[in-house]
Amino acid sequence: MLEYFSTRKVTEFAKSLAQDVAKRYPPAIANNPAQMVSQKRLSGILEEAFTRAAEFNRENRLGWYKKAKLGNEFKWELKEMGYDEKFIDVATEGLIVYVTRGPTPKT
Amino acid sequence: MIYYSQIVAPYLRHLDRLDGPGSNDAIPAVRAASALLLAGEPQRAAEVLAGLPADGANDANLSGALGFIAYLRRQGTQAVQLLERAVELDPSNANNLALLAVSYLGVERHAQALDAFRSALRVDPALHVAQTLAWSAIAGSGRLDGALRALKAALLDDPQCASAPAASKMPIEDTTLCIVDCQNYALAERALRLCMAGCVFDQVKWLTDRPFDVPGVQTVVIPPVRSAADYSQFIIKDLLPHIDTEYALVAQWDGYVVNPQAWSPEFLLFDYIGARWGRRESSATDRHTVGNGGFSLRSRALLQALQDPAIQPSHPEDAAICRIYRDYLEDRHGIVFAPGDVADRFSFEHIEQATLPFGFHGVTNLARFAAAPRIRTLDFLFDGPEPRAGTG
Repeated sequence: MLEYFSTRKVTEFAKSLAQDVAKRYPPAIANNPAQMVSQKRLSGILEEAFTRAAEFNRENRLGWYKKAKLGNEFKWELKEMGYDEKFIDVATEGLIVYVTRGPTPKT
Repeated sequence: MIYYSQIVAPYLRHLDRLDGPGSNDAIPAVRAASALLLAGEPQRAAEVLAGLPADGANDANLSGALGFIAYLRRQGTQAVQLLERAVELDPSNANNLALLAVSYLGVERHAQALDAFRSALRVDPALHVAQTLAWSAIAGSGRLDGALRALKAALLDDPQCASAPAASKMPIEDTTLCIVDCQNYALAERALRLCMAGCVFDQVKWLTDRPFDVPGVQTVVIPPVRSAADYSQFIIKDLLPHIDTEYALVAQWDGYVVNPQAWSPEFLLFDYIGARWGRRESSATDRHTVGNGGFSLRSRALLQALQDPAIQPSHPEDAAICRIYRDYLEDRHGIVFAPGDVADRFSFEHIEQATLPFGFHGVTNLARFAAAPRIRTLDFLFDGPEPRAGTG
């Protein structure tokens, strides 16, 4: 039972993370190749989401299964929202890197 | 006849709303004829209209619609006659009143135009075309300077919008609200208060030439900015050191937040957003339509890029940034300007929007957002100051 609830918590967190990205960088803009956006802002949006995920990992001591679930749920939520595959792959990969290794130290 | 195209879109929307169950059967024909006239097919439009009663047959909607046809045909006198009849039959139709006003304006009957605009605004104070073109009637009657003084005085008497509870205010992340104003002190303070009434900013700064004590506002004393050219120079080259956040929301005494709920974090994806201008194809740079600087969001990255010595300040500063140097800023500095549809949700100036954007700019839009009805209907131009509550 405990396992069930904590899995649900991972799912809910992944959804809220994806929704937060979508609020700031909606699929309609992300999927439009003609629409330029500030790369600095886009990096900031993703980095903030990844940092939140890394904190969630630390607070909840996720094992390999729940880390994988977090990445997978995040990916599926982005897909449901209609993002292009390319963006989904970049965002999901970044999330997994942050959750497994933590943020890259700034030089 | 002087033709004001601004009335066309709102009146077409009015015709579309009339074209439903229970409406006059002739309205669809008038609607079709309007489209043909606008497409440059007057002959076909005449054929469509051939069977209709030319005098409007004592029907307010049909008289108004035929007045619109006359207006599109630049037949000013006939438009006035039909619309006067429409208004006589139904004095509560704001669209016919506004079209009558525009028709008077077209034949340079400015006083009657202003009266008709005021009547339209009494029915619908949010009628953008009436709010804006009323100022053409004011200018045409030679009263612009006096009217502007009266508007400023009336706004200072206008009850301030009550501040929303802190928890329900819209958070505007990583943004400094700023106004640079060394002339319209009281109105600049009013604009800051109105922005802060519904939004929370990281910082609020009033850059001016003397210290003021306004709660929640950091006044920063700067050398006097006395002219529009000084303002442009300051905004382009001198604003950067005053902004510690990633974005600056630049407001003015006549440009501020009017719909906090329309804020979107999406706006922060761009380095510059301001109300869209009309498209002008007269030169290569004029193809850019975003946008007005009087109420605009600018990134720190843009303010830094503007320090490039190749960028020479010129007036007006928004045209310098968004037209003269836009291509350079994009190519050399990677600056991204918002597209028109995003700008339309952010702010408006001359171009009417279907839904109320986050903010606005422009003297001609100010009355619309006043709290006092006598300001919204421009009655303040014709009567004395309203007695203040509690002063006896």
